[in-house]
Amino acid sequence: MATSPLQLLHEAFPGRAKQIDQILGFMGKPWAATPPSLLINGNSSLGKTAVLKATLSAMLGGGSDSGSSSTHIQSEQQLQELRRRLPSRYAFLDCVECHTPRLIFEHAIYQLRNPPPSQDKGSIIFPSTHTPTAGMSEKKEATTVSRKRKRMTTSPLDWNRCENVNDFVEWCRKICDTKDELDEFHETHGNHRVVSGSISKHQNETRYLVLDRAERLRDTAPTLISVLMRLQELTGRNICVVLITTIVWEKFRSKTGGYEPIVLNFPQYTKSETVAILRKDLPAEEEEDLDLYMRFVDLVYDVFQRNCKDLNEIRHLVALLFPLYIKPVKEGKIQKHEGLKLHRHIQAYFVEAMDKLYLREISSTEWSDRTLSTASGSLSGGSGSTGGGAGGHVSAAPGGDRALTTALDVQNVFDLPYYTKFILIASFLASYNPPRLDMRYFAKVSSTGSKMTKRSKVAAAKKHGHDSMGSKLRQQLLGPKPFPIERMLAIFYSILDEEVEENVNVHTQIASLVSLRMLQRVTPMDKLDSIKCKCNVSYEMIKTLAKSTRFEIDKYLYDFS
Amino acid sequence: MSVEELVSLAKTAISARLAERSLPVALVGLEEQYKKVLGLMRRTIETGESNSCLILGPRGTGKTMLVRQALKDLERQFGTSYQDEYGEDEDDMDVDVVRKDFMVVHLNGLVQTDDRMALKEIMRQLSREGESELGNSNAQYPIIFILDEFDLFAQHTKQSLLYNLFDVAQSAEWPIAVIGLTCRMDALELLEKRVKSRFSHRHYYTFPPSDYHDYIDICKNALLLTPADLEIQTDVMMVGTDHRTAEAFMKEFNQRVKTLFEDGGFSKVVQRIFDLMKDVRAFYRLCFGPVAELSKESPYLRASQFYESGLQQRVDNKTELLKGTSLLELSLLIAIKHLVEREVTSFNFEMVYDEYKDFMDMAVVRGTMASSASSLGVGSGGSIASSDGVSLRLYKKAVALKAFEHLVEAELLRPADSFSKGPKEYRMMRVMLDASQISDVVLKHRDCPTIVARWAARRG
Ligand SMILES: Nc1ncnc2c1ncn2[C@@H]1O[C@H](COP(=O)(O)OP(=O)(O)OP(=O)(O)O)[C@@H](O)[C@H]1O
Ligand SMILES: Nc1ncnc2c1ncn2[C@@H]1O[C@H](COP(=O)(O)OP(=O)(O)OP(=O)(O)O)[C@@H](O)[C@H]1O
Ligand SMILES: [Mg+2]
Ligand SMILES: [Mg+2]
Repeated sequence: MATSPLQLLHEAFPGRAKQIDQILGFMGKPWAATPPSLLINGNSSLGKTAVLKATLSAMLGGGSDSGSSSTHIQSEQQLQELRRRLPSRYAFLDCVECHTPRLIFEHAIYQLRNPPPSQDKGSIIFPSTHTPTAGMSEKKEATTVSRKRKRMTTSPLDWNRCENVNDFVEWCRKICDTKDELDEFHETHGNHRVVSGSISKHQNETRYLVLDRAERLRDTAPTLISVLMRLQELTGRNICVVLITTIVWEKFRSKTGGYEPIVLNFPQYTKSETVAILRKDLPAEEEEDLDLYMRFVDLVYDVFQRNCKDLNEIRHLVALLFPLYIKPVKEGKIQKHEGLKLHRHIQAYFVEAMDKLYLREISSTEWSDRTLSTASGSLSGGSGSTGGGAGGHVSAAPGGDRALTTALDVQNVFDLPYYTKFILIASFLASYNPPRLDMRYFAKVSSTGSKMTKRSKVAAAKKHGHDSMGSKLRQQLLGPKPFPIERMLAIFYSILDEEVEENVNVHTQIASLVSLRMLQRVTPMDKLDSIKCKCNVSYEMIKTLAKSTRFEIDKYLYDFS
Repeated sequence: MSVEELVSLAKTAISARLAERSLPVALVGLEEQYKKVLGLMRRTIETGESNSCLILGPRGTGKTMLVRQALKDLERQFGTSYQDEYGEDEDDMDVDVVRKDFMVVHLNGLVQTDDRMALKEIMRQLSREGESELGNSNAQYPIIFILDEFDLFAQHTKQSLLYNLFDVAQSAEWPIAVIGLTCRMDALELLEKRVKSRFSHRHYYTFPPSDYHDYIDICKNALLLTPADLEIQTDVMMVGTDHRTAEAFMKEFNQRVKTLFEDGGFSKVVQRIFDLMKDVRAFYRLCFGPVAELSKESPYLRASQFYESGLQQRVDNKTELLKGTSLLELSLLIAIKHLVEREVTSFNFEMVYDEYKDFMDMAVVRGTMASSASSLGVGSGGSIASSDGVSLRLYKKAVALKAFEHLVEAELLRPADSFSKGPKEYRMMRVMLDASQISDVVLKHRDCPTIVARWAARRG
């Protein structure tokens, strides 16, 4: 049976047939004029990257070497072979990686002067053998790119320097003008200019420059956007620029305007499309569970879709929870057809999954390993350990854009030396309480009795000064304020109802808290006096810590809830 | 010729026009400007008179086209080694013209971003042209300089390129014409005094078609096929069947285009574009899709194709993107709306979460009260079932923070100040939608529980 590349593409991406056809329509014949620029937008994980990559690869990358080619006519086969061997007709760049104009230029030139990425790792192109631990394929890609980089340093002939737009435009002309066997192939096979009559001149094949995650361009190369949008006019060659992004074109538009791209939107998947995509995730060896799997997919979709529109996330959930769902069936505890029982069985897991939505604290394999090994299977019991185990992952929050240390090293906190814990508590108080109230809270008074009354006075005072809007400007919500170390130490000595031992060096302890990122120094390192710090620990954590030292922190906090 | 081949040719030709790779069949409403610019260049070539001028006009009103057309005509008249930088097929160029009477240098402010680059590029183009067939005469070849995006050249340090070009033009050392194209109406003001004083102050304006009929003419011309498009030789006496099928196809195709413009729905779409922006390119954008769809099964343009393509290019995809917001994200947006209404215009995640939590607490309290009467129960994790059978739940902070970040990624929220660092919960943000837009999102949201919708509608 002959399966055309187009059919394969349609099958690989349920729900994207229309978009694929549109893209192919714009591409037209290999040498035809294309729109100067396209903008593909749509929310995250709607297949923008995957569809475009697969489409370009199938059409211009020589397709897959798979067996079905025997049905192709010979010239077709020859064409595919040429495509695999000759310089690529498209360059696919990620604007996160190519974060300067120069990187964009040089990567584009490199890719357009070398054969397209080989198809051996077909799984990248066609997601059928997709492993639900997302990021896998991306990682693979990253390694291929880094390999390329390495190659670039070893064989400098392949890598061309290109630092400015002027050179880039010249390069594009050069690349488009090199007539190679493919262009000759079209001529000799009469593929184009059918009745070429007196016209001997002809267009070489169109080149494509795809920029993924293009929203980054606005920060990394703002002036480049208008150049890219009319690269076709500027080079005078058949070259088509495609931007892939999650945002709307309005956000790219510059003040002076310029050429506007054709917008192609990838809409949200419908339920049946989502289900069809997930259907492909079931490993072939578990095909006998298909009925159960589909029922489960349906259930997950209904439960989660309202709160989770992200295909990858739903996919992750299915991969995570399906083993748990069929476990009792495998063990013979519940029969396949007892839908209600199964439903009840999985309900508890759903509740927890809901709490962890998007967090990816643990990978799916880790999750299933652990939960499956817990004989009881009660997830609420296991959630305590989740906190501990997850610690490492949370701290590795993406983008270096660390969130407050919440679950961060709960363990670490408990391992802190006794006095250090109090320094941390004092820092927290100093970060969140207004200094003017320090006297009231922390002035040392001989008898504990009168201390209490003072505090309750403060508590009463708290009630004042609250209006509807002011309550949103409480320090608790605004975040930690920097404080001078001296102030914190005053609080520290006050809350520590005992003498500090001689040999304890508070400054070393502060330094170690800073290195643990629980305190953050806001004054520059070379400044030695009047150092200021901020406490980077969450309320939840400080509460646990205070509890472990029997310190009633709530009594000392102003305006917390 | 088969229909398939004909369609393919038609597609290629029309796409090339839409992509502005080839010039339109006619300039509409720019005849006067065209004559002036052509005359200016011709005088430089014929009489060695130097000159300078500016062509000013909004985007897409034909500045570049005008100049290209003029150069093409001059080239036909005088012959040149000038290679069209725009890569257009010069299929009607006389091959036996070997005389070369002038040279052209194309510069674009987007590409040559400083004078050094511009000089390099001038040298490259001149040497390439010189090489080809300069012969050994030392005659002064007139040079025509085209400076597209002229205003950008005015940003180069000291404007020395402009100064020198205008200076040469004014002092008549060498026959040159300097033609600047810009969409900035105040371009002249950008010039330094010494530069400005050397400029001829000749300038021409291009405008978007003011008349709807002109607009329609331009649009129609882009879609109508010409004999050249289908490679029909008009001058040769050819009566082959190929010739006849091609002509029949063209006739039918053009007839369909005419009916297209008579279609009510189609006209409405075009009228709308005209009323909104009078932009020819906006119409071109609309056409790419339908033209790309032509095939041997459906070889002619149909009005229905344009309805959809009109929608696709028109709807600001913001609403489409907002369809992808989850209920939690929606809730956070509503919380933000309430904050903004209380004039807390910049806020951080903690404040938003606090507002959201207040609402959920209240909803849970109400939910519990209701549950004593009805069977609505408070779920184990503090989730409550609302009247429409949807369970709402108070999400943990970490989950909500992810949702919040998603709003930031979607750029519905932007940082209030550019350099705030520190934990992201506390980073101050602003919302890029106004309260009514948020309410709109809530209304359009496919499955927003009534209790949330009511919360959104509440003021203050
Ligand atoms: N229609 C589909 N059929 C099969 N797999 C799909 C489909 N849509 C998306 N996927 C898969 O979902 C994953 C996410 O898709 P992809 O990375 O292309 O999304 P994206 O739109 O580029 O998202 P982002 O904006 O986050 O980059 C990929 O593994 C892809 O193969
Ligand atoms: N008056 C007109 N008659 C015929 N075609 C026109 C007219 N105005 C614009 N067009 C069409 O619009 C296209 C865009 O025009 P052109 O490229 O000259 O714009 P521009 O003024 O140079 O814009 P920009 O400032 O963006 O470079 C032309 O290729 C042509 O097809
Ligand atoms: Mg992507
Ligand atoms: Mg222009």
